[in-house]
Amino acid sequence: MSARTARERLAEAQSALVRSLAQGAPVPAGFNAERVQETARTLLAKRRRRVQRSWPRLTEALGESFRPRFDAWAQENPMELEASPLADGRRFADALLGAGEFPDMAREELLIFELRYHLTGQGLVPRRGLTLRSMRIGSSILLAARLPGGRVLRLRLPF
Amino acid sequence: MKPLAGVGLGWRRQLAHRIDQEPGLGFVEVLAEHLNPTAPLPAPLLRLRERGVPLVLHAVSLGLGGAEPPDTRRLDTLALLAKRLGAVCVSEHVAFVRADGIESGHLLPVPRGDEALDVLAENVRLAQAALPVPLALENIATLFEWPAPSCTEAEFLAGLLSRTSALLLLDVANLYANALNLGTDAAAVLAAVPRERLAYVHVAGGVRHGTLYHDTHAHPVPMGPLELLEALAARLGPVPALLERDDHFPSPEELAAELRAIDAAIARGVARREAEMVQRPEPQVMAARGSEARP
Repeated sequence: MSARTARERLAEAQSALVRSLAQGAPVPAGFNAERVQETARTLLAKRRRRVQRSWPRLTEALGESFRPRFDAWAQENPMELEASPLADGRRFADALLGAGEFPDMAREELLIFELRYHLTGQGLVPRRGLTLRSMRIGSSILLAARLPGGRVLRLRLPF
Repeated sequence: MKPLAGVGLGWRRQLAHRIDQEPGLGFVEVLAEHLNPTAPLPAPLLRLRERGVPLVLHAVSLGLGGAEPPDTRRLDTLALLAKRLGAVCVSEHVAFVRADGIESGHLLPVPRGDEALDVLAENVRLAQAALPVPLALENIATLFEWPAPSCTEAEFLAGLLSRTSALLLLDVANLYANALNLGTDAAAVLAAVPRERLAYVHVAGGVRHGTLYHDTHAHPVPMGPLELLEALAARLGPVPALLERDDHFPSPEELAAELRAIDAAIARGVARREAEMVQRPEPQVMAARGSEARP
């Protein structure tokens, strides 16, 4: 018996399994590799589907390229803190923004997200009170306000 | 805890109206992760509470099977929600969901060995101490197992019940899935369930893809889980059972038919039990029943 505790041994074993499932690391020894990989595919599909539901405009805008782009990004960026599709999609959006590949068609959705939440080191935090945001979309400007209580108003200029 | 009875349905936003209109539900299960602990409870849930429909708080993200003790912040949230709902109990899974800072977004199996069982039992006791109502533990469905298990699923379940005072939420759909995908001995698991520890039963639908059965909660309930429910009721008598439907919501008629099918499976099991109680003293009847005879 080593000096490590049961919790430490379990943590190490579970970590290897989760890295295999979430990031495509090698399947730990002794497991049925085919079944673990099938589970990894199920997990990725579930994660993708939940993000697609939370970000319908982004999904529509990326069309058929959503799946390969999201899947490639997701393997490099496992979910941390919370398994929240809103937060997960927001991080994916950041990656697209960084690459200059965020579709114009989904900018309004991103703006509305920004009105309602902000992503912090502790996860997704709902905003409170009045929040204002504006964003240039093509040749127009979108103004949006989140009122205390949660209602969102939008105005596109020029009308 | 106040015992649950009858047939229940998992509360989902898409089913809220149906549940509001449904007078016959024995109990309703509410997903903890769908509620904002600091915001007012959704009005339909308040109406259920006012109607006196027993509510169960069901959680998926505590990770009782994890290497870390359950997070006190998550436990505080569950305790707060359980109080606000007036929940009769809280249920969680025998699973781990995160490791090394990574959220799997899924319920993953724990190794079936003494050491993992010790950690799990300690986590369960910590959770129980933090919750204002009893905790019920649910068996999960998985496509794979940990290598070299030191006991069967039935023995692991019995070990967990003997090492803790937790209740059991037996998911017959998960048991059915594991029986098909892993060869789990479903009858042995059913036989390991003590009536006094059983909080309620989960029933859900799934679908077969190739050689694997997937417990989706988005397809009709096949006969398999209902047969397990029937067998359980044949051993224990009437058991509270709840339908979980998470997606591809069926028409009101289909949903009502699924609830009736659950009720009917329990009734068949109860009838079998009563018939066997009457017949048991008759050795010739036992012999006539052949291989179906129960000891």
